[in-house]
Amino acid sequence: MTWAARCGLGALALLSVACVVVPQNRREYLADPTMQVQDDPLEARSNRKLYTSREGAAGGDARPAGGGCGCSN
Amino acid sequence: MRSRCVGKPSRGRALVVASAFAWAVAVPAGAADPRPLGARSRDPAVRIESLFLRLSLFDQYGHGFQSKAGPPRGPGSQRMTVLQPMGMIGLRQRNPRWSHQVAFALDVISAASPDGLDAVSSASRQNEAGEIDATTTYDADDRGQWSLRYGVHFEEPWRSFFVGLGFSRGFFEDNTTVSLATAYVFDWFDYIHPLGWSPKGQEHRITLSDNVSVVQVLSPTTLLTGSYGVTFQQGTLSTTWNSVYIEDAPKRTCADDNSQKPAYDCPNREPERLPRTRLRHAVALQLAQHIPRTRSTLKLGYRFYDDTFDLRAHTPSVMLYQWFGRRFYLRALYRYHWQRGVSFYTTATRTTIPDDMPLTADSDLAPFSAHQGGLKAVLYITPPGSVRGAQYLDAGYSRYQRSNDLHIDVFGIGYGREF
Repeated sequence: MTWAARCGLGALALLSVACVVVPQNRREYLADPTMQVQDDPLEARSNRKLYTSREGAAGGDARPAGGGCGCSN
Repeated sequence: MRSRCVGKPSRGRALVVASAFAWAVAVPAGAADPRPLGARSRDPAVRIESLFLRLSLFDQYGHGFQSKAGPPRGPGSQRMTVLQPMGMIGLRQRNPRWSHQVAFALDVISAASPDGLDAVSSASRQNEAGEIDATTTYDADDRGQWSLRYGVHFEEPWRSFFVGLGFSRGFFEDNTTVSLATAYVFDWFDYIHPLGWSPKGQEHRITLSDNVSVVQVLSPTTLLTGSYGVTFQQGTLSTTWNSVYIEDAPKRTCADDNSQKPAYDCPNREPERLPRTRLRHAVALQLAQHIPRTRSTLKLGYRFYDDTFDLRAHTPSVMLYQWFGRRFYLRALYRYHWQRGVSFYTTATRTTIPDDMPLTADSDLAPFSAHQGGLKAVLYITPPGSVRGAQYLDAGYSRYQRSNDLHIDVFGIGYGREF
């Protein structure tokens, strides 16, 4: 089985779980600061700076290119 | 090397997105604000919603074969420190549909050899870089959120302008949120040869990026985030002062071991050469699970990357959060990165190699693995959920260690407040 097929099966499995709708009044834990997609917007920017300037495979998120590795963005 | 499946961005699609944005924002101001006109007029025109401040320090040690800060054969030093103050302010207009987020960052960089000119004179071993990044968002309720992003970046040899459009909408009682974004980045910069002169004047590159992301609520304690981004770049993609050692160059003026003072007129290095186009794909997944019984949160992440430089990478990560009381939590982080390296990476070249063959000795494009581990403490002055708005201080440290002789100590302190 190719990696693409495995990813597809994994996505289907997750989507089948996602069919359950969680009402707004049962989402208090999702509002916890530790559950946010980004902990702190500036920390995320700072980390992005570290990775895009030191890893050729980082980026791809449409930020200014920056020097350091020719990888830019 | 040319990318195989590169196409020009669709002008029609851009027009559709721009038209839709214009239509969405053309709704009369205050049309959906249910409050009486008198109540609205007492509000300030713009109020502050949030404020974030951060100071980070990157302390880097290591060596790379692209650097001239060492013996001619290399590797040269990549010693660098970056002090980075940043800030972000969130604003909301009297018409609450409109909000703005403005971020600014300043980098104060002290490096062993930031560019070729510096390596000769040392005049600019301390450089500064600045960036302003703003996003204006219009919330059209059930029609979704539209955002316009724009900003500039300035650095000694390099300037950048970027603009982008985004759309986000929730489905199934906001259990699913889908976001689309497209962005355009234009960079132009001085071409600086590794020998410290500028033979070509200004160079440029463009970047077009499209991203789609989905945030899915899986249970009252589980959240799944997935994203895919495709980025196309064209222009001068190399770091123009990066160079490659020439093994069979004449050595009449070159010393083999001259430590931090190499002979910069030595003709034994030539500039790196990268292809003029690059197409990049990145897929990322993150699963967040909150455990109410222990007041812990576990986040598992994975990112896959592939591009037309034959660079491929896998990056898994794990973060564990633990609350102690209502006001304090700790976060532990571990991240692993593995990349295959570009197909044209080398530590040295020869005079017989054709001039049109891509070539780089940049350690960032080399095959390597990297580990990062860190700890962060967050103290809430006013706890989350407080009517006065949350307010916190944080401090953290992490260590980034690469397998090809590079490590970075990262220190950070931050402050955040919601009004």
